Amino acid sequence: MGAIWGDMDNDGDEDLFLYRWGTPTVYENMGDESFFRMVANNGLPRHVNANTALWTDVNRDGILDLFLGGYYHEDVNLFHVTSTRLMPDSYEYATNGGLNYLFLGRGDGTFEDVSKEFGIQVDRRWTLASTAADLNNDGYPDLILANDYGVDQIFINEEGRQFRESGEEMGIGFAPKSGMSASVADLYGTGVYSIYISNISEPGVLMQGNNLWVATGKREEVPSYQNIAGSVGVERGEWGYGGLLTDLNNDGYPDLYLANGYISDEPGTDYWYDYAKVVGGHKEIIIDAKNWPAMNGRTFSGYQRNKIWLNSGSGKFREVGAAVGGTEITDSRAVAMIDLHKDGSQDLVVANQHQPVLVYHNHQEPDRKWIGFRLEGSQSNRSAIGAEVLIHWDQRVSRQTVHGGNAFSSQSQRALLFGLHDTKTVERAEIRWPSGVVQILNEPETGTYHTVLEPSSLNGSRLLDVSRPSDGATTSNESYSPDAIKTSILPTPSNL
Amino acid sequence: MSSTQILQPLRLQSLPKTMIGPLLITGLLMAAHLSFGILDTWSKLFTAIGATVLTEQVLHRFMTGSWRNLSSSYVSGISAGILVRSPLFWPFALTGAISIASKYVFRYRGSHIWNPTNFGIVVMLILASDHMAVLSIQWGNNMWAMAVIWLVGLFTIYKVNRFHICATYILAFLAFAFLRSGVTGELFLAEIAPLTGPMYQLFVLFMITDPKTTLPTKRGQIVVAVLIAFTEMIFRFFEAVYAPFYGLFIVGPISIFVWHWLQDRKNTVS
Repeated sequence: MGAIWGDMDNDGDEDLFLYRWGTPTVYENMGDESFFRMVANNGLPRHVNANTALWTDVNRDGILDLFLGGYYHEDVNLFHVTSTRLMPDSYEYATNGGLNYLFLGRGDGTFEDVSKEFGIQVDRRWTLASTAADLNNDGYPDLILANDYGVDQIFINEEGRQFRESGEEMGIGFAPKSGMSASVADLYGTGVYSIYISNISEPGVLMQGNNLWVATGKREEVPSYQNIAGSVGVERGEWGYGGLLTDLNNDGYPDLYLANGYISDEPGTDYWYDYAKVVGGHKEIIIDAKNWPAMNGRTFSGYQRNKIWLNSGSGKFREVGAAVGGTEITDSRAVAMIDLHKDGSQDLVVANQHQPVLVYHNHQEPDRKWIGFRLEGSQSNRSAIGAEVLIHWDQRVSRQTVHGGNAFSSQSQRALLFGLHDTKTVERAEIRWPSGVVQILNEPETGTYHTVLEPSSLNGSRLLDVSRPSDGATTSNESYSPDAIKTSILPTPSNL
Repeated sequence: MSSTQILQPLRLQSLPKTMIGPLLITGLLMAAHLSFGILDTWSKLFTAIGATVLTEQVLHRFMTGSWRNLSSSYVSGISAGILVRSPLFWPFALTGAISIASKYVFRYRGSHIWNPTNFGIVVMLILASDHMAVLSIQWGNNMWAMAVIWLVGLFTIYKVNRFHICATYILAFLAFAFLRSGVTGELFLAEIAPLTGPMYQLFVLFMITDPKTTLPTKRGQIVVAVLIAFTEMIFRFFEAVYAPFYGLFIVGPISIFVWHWLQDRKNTVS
C-alpha cells in the first residue's frame, strides 16, 4: 500500500517502513547501501490490513514513533479468505474495520505497542488515510484520520501521554462520508492549518463532496472547524483518492492536486447500479461479500481525470488541470510532491492502479520567488519529522510542517518549500523543533534551500535565536551552525 | 374542559389527520439524525422546508386567495431534505419548489396527479443529476432502529387506513425481486437489499400512500401498488438506481387517468 522513510534509529540514514494488507515490515538502512529486513520480534503485529502509516514523534522524545491505520479487520487475510463476512457492516456508519495502532519507537528498529494506553483503539473504523500536524498549537502532533464508510477523526495529542478523539467536538466528525485522503496546509497565510479530506462524488448516485475544513474559532482548547469546500470551489471531485495541498505556482498559497478514478475497465459499463442496490441494505446483507454482485469487468467510477485547483489566496480555487497539462485519464491513487530539479518548483509524482507512475515536471513562471528548508534534528528526531517552519514575509505568516506521511498512502519530500510570489525577502523564519526548541533565522536568503541543524538549548530556554551570518553569504548548501545561537524573547505560538 | 378530558391520554385517532404525517416524518427524522447524523447540516433541511413552505403559500395564495395549511408542504420539505444528497444548497431548494409547484401546475379534475416529492425528485434526477443524488445508503446498522421505524410507520399507516397499500407493495416487491433474481442470476438477498434501507422506508410509508394521489378504492390502491412494483422491476432490469421513484412517477398519474376513464365509462353505461 505504501512506504514511508524516516531515520528511526537516528544514525543519519533513512530507514524504510513498508505497509500493506499483510505483514508490516521495517527495513533498517545499514549505511552500506544495504537494508536489513526486520519482520519479527520488532514489536509490530504479524498481520494488519493497513492502508496508511506515519512516522511521527508523539511524545517528542527524539525517537520516531509509528502510526499504522487498519482498513479491513486484522482477522481478514484477503489472500487466504476463510469467510465472506468481511465487508463493512454499513457504508456510512461502519463499526467493523481494522484496528489502528500506535507504536513508540525504541530507537533500535523495535517498537512498543501503546495503542490502547494512548487511546488510539477506541473504535473500529475503516481508516484509509492519515496525517499529523499540531492543530492546537501545543507543540505536540495531533492525528487526522480519513475514514472510509464513516466519520473522520481528529486525535488530539495530550502532551505525549495519550490521545483524545475530538473530531465531533471540533466540528469534523459528525457527517459520515468516505474519507480517502488527508492533507493539511496553511491555506491563507495566517499560520493556521486547514484540512482537506477527499471523498466520493458520482453524479446522480452518490454526492458526498470533498471537505475543506477551515478553523473558525476555538472550543475547549481545540480549534473548531467549518467545511467551506463548496464555497471555495473544491468540493466537487469524483471518486477521490490522494488530495494534496501544496503550492504549485509559488504564489504563497497552497494549491490542491486531487487524484481521481477507481476502476476503469470495460468502457460503457457501470457497476454503480449493483453497488447502490446493496449498500442500501441491512448490515446482514452488505457485510457478506457473497451477497455482492460480481463486477464481471465492469467499470466503477473509471476514466476520470485528476484535478488541479489553484488557490487565488482570496478565498476561491480554480480548476486548471486541462490548462496546465494534467489531463491524463488514470485510476490514480497516491500523489506526492518533490522538487526533483532542486529549482524551487514543486514537481508531482502520481501513482496509478495498474498503470504507470506519472511524473509531472512543474514549469514555474521564472520570476516566482521561493525559499526552502532542509531540517536535521539533534535533540529532536534526526529526520525532523514534526518540525514546523513559519516564515514571516509580506506582512503575513506561512506555516508548514515536516510530514512523515500524508494524503493517501504517500509521503512527500521532507524539505519544506515556500512560494513567495514576487517577494524577494523574508523577514524571518521561525523553526519549531519537536524538542521544543524554537530557532529564528533572520532575513534568510530566498531562492535557495537552507540546511538547518537543530541547535542545543541554552540554559533550559526554549526560545532561541539563530542569527543569520552578518555577511549575508548564504548558499544553497549552507548549514546554520548551532554555535551561532543566542537567546532572545520571541512571540509565542498563540500570537499567530 | 373537564379533568377527565385533561387526564385522557393523547390518542392517535384524536389527532387531526393532517398532523399525523408531519409528526411521523418529524419523529423519523429526529430518530435517524440523532442516532446516526443522517443530515449533512440542518441548514440544507431548513432550505428544503423553507422552499416548500414558501412555494406553497405563494402559489396557494395566488391560485385561491387564501393561505394554505402548512402540514403538506412541511412533509414535502422534510422528505426533500432527507432524500436529496448534494453538497450544494440549491438542489434542496429547487427540489422543494418543484415538488410543491407540481401540485398547482399538473392537475386533473381538481386534484394533483403526482406525489409532490416524487415528482420533484424525478425531475431533479433528470435535469440536475450532475449536482445531486438521492439517499441510497443505510442509516446505521442497528436492526432495532430499522424495526422500530417500520413498526411505528406501518402502525400509523394502518391507523389511517393505508396499510394495505404498503403491504401490497412490499409483497409485490419481494415477488418481483425473486423473479429478477431468477432472471439475472443475482442473489435474492441482493435484490431485496434496498427494501431494508431508509429510501424505501420513505417511499413506502409516505409516497405511495399519499391520499391525494392514490385511487379512492381499496381495490384500485392494491392494483396500483402492484403496478408500481412491476414498473420498478422493469427499470431495475435496465439498472436504474432510483427505479421505485420512476415506477411511481409513471404509474401514479396513469392510474388516476384510467380510473377516471373507467368511472366515466361506467356512468355512461349506467
